[in-house]
Amino acid sequence: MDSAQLRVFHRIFGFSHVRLAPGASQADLMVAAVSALPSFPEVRHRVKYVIQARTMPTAFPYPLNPLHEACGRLGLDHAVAFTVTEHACAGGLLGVHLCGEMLATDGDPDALGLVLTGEKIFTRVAKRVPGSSINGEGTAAALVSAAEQGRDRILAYASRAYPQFHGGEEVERATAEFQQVYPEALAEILTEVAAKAGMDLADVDFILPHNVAKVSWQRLCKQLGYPADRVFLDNIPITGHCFSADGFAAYRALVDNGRLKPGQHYIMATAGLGATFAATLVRH
Amino acid sequence: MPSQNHLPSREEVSAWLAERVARHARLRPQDVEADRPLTDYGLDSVSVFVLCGEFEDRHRVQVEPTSVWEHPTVRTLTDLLMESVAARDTLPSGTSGGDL
Repeated sequence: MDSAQLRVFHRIFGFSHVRLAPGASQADLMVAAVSALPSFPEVRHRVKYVIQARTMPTAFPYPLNPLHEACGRLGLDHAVAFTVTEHACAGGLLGVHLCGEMLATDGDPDALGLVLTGEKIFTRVAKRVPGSSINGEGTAAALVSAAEQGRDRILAYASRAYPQFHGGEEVERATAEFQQVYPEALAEILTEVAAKAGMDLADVDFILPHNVAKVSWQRLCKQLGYPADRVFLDNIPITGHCFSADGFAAYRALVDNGRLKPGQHYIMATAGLGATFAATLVRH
Repeated sequence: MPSQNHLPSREEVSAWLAERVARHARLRPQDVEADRPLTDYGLDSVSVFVLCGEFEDRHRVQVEPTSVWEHPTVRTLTDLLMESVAARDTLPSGTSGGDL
């Protein structure tokens, strides 16, 4: 990247710093995220499913398995652990939805799911999304229950796939088309998830976005007539784009700084290369 | 390089833009078609923002970044740049360049 491109990423796209964890393994990052969940030690035995949402489908050579290593270190050997990949950075929202569906089907009101998001960056390709973002290694963990527990209740989930953008060379050739589709698809998924929850998008208090170029969110807000100051873009210069962890990190920041109040609604919204657009509407 | 106080004409802006696009695509400026998408010449969004930033510096204007995607050809991007030129007089005194 030359200085002119760097200037665009800094001043127009909003990037400044990225969070990296040199020396920490993928398992270390996941263990650290779970260890930051205050209730985890008390509910560890109730965790039935562990889902890692990963953008990079193959990151480790056999027989290395950082998810199983993390489960072992966290005392979660009793849980069913697996990875979802094909939704790329939208995989975190898929993981939450999947956990909820499986737990509801099982019917055990005490059972919990654990969703792990964010990942190590091993290759040059994974360091940034061309024309969109610079990536970081921030990681997040979320506990999911099918019973009405916890302080956040999911009201709706929506996801749409655009498989014509799947694959390396296809993605390169489809860049112009993807740029065309991107704002329309993101707008559609936002309005769809609001409609599924029986709400108007205008009544949603916050959008917790994936941390891509802030100007693309500002442009989308202009198109939708949604106030740009209700899209939480504060993490872009702090963390960079941390794959599927962005929405969860945004949630943490909004709660920690007292901006998200009980009863307010927020949408976690993201797009995964390949391409999947997803959104989850939640009442706090 | 023109004076920053010089108000460029539409023809000058269009020619400058075509020259920059041609340089990027390794073509002759006269081979750049005004209504063809800039992406056809290999310019992604970052490249277009870089061009707009250069224009801002040259003419002390501000180009509205959220509008860049809605101006995907030399002709339409010229429209946008000319809008920024027309709005230059409304900039606060001492402003140098824009956000791009």
